Amino acid sequence: MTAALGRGISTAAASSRSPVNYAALPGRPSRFSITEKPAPFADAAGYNNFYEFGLDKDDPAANAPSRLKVSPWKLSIEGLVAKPRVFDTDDLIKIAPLEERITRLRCVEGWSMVIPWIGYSLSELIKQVQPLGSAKYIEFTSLADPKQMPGLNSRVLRWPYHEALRLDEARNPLTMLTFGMYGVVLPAQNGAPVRMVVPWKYGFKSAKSLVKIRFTETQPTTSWSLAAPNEYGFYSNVNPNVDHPRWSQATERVLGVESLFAVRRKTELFNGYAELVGGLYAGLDLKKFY
Amino acid sequence: MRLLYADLQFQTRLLRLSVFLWAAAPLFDLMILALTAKLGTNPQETLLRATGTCCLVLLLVTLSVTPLRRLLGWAELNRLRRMLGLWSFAYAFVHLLGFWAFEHEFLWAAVFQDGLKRPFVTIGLMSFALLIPLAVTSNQLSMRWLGTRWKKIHRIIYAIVLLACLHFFLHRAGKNNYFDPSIALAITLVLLGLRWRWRRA
Repeated sequence: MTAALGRGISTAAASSRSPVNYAALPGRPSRFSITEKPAPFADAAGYNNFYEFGLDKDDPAANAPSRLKVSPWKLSIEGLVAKPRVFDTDDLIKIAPLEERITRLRCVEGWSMVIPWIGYSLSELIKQVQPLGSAKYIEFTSLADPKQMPGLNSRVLRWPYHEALRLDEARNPLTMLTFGMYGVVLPAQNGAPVRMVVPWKYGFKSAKSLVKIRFTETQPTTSWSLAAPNEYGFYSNVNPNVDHPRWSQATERVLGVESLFAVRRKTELFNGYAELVGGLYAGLDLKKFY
Repeated sequence: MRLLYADLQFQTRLLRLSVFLWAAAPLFDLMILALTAKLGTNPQETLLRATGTCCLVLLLVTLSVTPLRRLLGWAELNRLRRMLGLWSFAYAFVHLLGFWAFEHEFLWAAVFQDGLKRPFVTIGLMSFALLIPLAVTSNQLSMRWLGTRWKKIHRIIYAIVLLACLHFFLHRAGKNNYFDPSIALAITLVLLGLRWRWRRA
């Protein structure tokens, strides 16, 4: 009985890690793509931090696909904008042509994975809602429904999960509103139906399963900086020269390469996007504003 | 009477063999998974965590031999203690080798520098260093040679298991997910508490 149950769960988790079980969502090639080979789909869809579905890396793939209801889905755009609006996923996805961007997701824990994301620059959505002159920041809020998300029992973070960017960071074309990966719609465990991808920042800045985007004048708080302010700052830019208090950020383990003794990769400033985003931080002390 | 003794001897041997296989099983399992590339998306992390857990579990099992012997009145159990302790050392050794290979690209200097920087690593290295004298003196010759000092030296295991628990807590500090370390610490405190009570009694 227990064995049968165990097999049942692992089969469900296994099928959620195969791209054939998701609807196709193609995107045109992007100038922002890197040339490295993406990790296998099963790794990107099986090794996740999505605490709403459990703290272990394989919890989201086991728990999210059967629990997260991705349709109907509404994303509310509010705050300091001329045209606040609630979008259905179907309307949202049509705002701009979808691109496939191969970027490296660098987790603050010291690993990275190359993933082809499908979406468009968040600036396209920002244009539609017309931020007021007073808007300086943008806050992202993830779904927090205890009926769907067993991990909300955990007190590790303050729910709902919320993240934020400066408005100029959000307008940078690299900042991506994301609907799919590997040519298919996002698996539940990867933040379906819509999430952020901010490739020059640590992965936790890219909030998943978004229900609200709010424009503000003052700097919003963020879930991780509330949980451990000395470890996770507002900016959280990938930076090999600023260590996490408990570990070095100088190198990273590239996942999805299937070799036990693969050499660790030297972490690059802004995850390799210094040319595109360095200007945002001119004159800012990156050690102080980590 | 002789037959009964032979039976008992057979039972002891069977017990020793079973415990040996039980303790060795995770290591062989990990080796097979590593050779067939089935350790998951982050195989290095899987290996490090699994060997760390096995080391701590075996430390606790080693520490429970004496209380169990007292409670069950089964003197033969004591003969398992050395084997269990040595297996715990073996997992600690693989754990350290993995840390050296995967986290520091085979550079011992980097391992020790890391030990100076991060309390999590400091505690781990300290626990391993303290295990060395115990492993080296886990034989008849050392027991005879050290006499009463042997027992005193081997009381270091109390400090080691507490340090190992602390190492486990520090490992989970990021996610504040202290459920497993709390269980390990609770078992440790029960095992140490029993000894303390018996000594006073």
